[in-house]
Amino acid sequence: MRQVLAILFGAAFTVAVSAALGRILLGRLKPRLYWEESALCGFLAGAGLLSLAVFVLCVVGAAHWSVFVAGGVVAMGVCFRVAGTGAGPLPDGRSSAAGGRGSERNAVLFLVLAVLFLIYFVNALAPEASPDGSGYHMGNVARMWRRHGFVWDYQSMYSYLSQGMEMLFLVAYSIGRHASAALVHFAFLITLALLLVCYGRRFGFPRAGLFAAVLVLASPVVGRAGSSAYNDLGLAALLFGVFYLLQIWDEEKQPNLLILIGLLSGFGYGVKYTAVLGLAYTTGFVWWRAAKGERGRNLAILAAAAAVGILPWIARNWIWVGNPFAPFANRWFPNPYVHPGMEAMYLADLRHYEGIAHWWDVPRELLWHGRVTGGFVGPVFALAPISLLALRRPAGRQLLLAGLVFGIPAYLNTGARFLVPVLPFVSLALGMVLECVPWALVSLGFMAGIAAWPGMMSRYADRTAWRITGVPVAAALRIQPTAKYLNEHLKDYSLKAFIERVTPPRARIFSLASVAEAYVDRTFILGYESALGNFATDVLAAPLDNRYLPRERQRFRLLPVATRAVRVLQTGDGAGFWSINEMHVGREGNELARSGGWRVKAWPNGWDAPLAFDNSYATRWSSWQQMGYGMYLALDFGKTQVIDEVWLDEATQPGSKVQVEVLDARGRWIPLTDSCETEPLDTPGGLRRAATLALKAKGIRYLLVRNTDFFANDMRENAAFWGVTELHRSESASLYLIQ
Amino acid sequence: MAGNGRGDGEWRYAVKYGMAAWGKTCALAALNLLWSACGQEAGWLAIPAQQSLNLGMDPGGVSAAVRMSDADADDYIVRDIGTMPGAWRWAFAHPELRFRLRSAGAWRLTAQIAIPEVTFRVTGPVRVTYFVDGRKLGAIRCDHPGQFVIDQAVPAEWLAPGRYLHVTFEADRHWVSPEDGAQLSFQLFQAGFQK
Repeated sequence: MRQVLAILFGAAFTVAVSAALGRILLGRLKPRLYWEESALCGFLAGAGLLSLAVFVLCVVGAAHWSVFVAGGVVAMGVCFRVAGTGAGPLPDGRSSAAGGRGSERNAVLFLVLAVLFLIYFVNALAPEASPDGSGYHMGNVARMWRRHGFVWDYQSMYSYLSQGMEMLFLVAYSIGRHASAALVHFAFLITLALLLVCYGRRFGFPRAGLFAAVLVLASPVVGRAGSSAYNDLGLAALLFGVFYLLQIWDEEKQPNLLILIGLLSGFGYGVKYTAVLGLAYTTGFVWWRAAKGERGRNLAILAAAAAVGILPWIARNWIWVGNPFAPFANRWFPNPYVHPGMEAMYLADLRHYEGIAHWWDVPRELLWHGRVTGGFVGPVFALAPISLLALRRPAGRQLLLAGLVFGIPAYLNTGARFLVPVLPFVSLALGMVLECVPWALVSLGFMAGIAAWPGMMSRYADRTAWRITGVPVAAALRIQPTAKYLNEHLKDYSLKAFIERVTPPRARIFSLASVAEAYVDRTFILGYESALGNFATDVLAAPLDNRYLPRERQRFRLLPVATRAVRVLQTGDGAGFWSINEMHVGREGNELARSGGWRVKAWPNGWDAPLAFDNSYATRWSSWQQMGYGMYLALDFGKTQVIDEVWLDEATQPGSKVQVEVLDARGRWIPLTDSCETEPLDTPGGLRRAATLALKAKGIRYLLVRNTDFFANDMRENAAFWGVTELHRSESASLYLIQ
Repeated sequence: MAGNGRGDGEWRYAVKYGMAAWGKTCALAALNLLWSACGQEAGWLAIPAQQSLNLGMDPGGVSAAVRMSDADADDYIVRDIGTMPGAWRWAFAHPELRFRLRSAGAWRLTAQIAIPEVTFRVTGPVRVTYFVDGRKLGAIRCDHPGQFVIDQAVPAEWLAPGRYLHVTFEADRHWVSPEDGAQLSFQLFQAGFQK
């Protein structure tokens, strides 16, 4: 029970500090809001401020439990001393509860809300076992907690994402560990539901607001994500909060509201990059609705406030990775940590519905099946087209326009989670349309609640769909041991004890697929998350896969030429990457011995150029982006050399057409030949050992290999050739040590 | 007064346009900064430490002998041997294969070849000389259409376990296709080293 109390305290403390900071801020800004609006928007804004404060602590390496507690206590103390209600004077003649008739009908909806609240609360309190929550979300948090700040030597695309929500998780985690973080996210879910109710009350659709809260809460993907350590509900709450405050600003034009709106927009970016659409929407809205002479000033206020939440993440990534928008835009901001080609493959994978034969399967998957879309929004949203009737009313148009803008990421990502920010807007619009039909909202809300019941979902959803599957009271109250629960829900959790026993604390473990890194106190290099992971995957594939195995030699013969540098320039184009395992230069039939004075260079991905000159056929330089004209690999001898031959050892590459150039005395590249003889390469033996030695040289000593990994069988059968020792084997995976 | 007013106006004009110019300069500087950040490159890097190629052998892969019907026969062919799968393949002008031995010892080079009736009618008797890593090992005279077997001991000092050995054949007469000029030497069924 002490553990449960610690979990609850961790979450409550984080929420309370956020609320206190928000109250202090609103006490300064004095926006004219109802007290409940003030409390909810204050929490969102305060969470942004707390996130920013933790960001600073992470930068300076001072993210300690004691600092969090001391800072939180001070914030709450200041709040009680200096802040008022946090709300300014109310608008004339209106009540926040305006139009609240039909209480017996509302009672049904409140009952549904209460039941859903309890189900999700219990799930959030249970040990965190969601895929991304136990993976990178809490993995990043646990890593930062161990190092008391950002882990600058850790390379993963997920650690480059903005982590505004993870900053809050870090505070909660420091007290109550993983489940505390999930409860903080749950708080954003509840905030969103309450904001919907408030919106309805303020703008004259109280029943629609309550109905929308029920519909959103009853959405299975909302329930699952909202009770996990994710960030989608934080994003949805912030985007709706921004929309809500914009509507108030539109009516009253309070300048201070723009500061609050900007802060929430900026914090949204800090939570998830897709919130940049919220900023775009806000900018457009303010531009459109502001008086002509006020536009510049209003937008300046908005931008300045938003920058508070955005710039820290941009600056961190620019300094750390060399790319302000990492892990995206790597073509524009080349860096050694994320390859543009990997980014392109990752984004293409997100856009692709795996296993869908027809486009009309997509609505089925998103609405109730949920197998390939990582969950589903719920069958009630099949009625969403009815919400278009709300276009008849100004408020409906505003809601649907915002929903349309915030839904753009859903076109780029097949996951049902990316529809979560849209659901509040569609639900409200649907409620506005149906509130004139007697009992429609109540019956529909009730049906949505029934459809969200875990037992009911198992009747219509796919067995593997990501959703709430039960109400784990025993696990939540820690009556069932946490380890037992996690063993049942996380496939790799059973490896934790062994990995931590046999590997040293600073060990780097390579794994092709994601790991429950939030629970294993080791550094994992995942195959798809970083350039280092890509490198490891490449070298392990080299001995086994003909697409990677260097099988041919391209021999370019030249008339003897004296030059200081030579390069091979790509003049063809193809769908694949251009790669070269080894580049040799010769004279009179003999290879020029490589000298320590030589220098090498490549474009793109110049950081890997040495891999084409390391005498290892397991490693290679790769462009890591689609082959195209102008790519090159160059070698500078440091002094003039006479050469008459260049040969490239590589895998077969359709579309590649290479031209050999030498540097003349005036520093110009002079093309010499683009014709070559291609012959089979006598690939040296020992490629498997060369691969593991290359990994060892990068500091990777351990390999966590799933039975389904492409090299699993070969490594098991030929461990001696790989130079590895199997330390442990479970039903699904093996752990190897590279000798 | 009028002069003062004009002077005041000029001053405001100067400030206004000076500010605009300063703003443009700042914007250009910011763009330049962004542009230079976009162009980040690794530059020239030192040649890395050279890795050893003496890391033993891998399981599978090219071995001591191959039949042309084997699924991995292409891995043994270096040049001038047909790519159509089947029990035999055409050997063209300068056929070359490669093999790897896993151990030292008394190895013999063996090959099964054939001269078909239809080409023999044109070429007459054919003498096929065979080489190991460019060194002549022997020759066989094919004085009638049909199958011939090469089987000859290889000096042990020519062979090195783990290293690729290249075997080449040279026929003194070729059948030349009147259609595309392709030069056919013989049909190859199998080749390699046997103990």
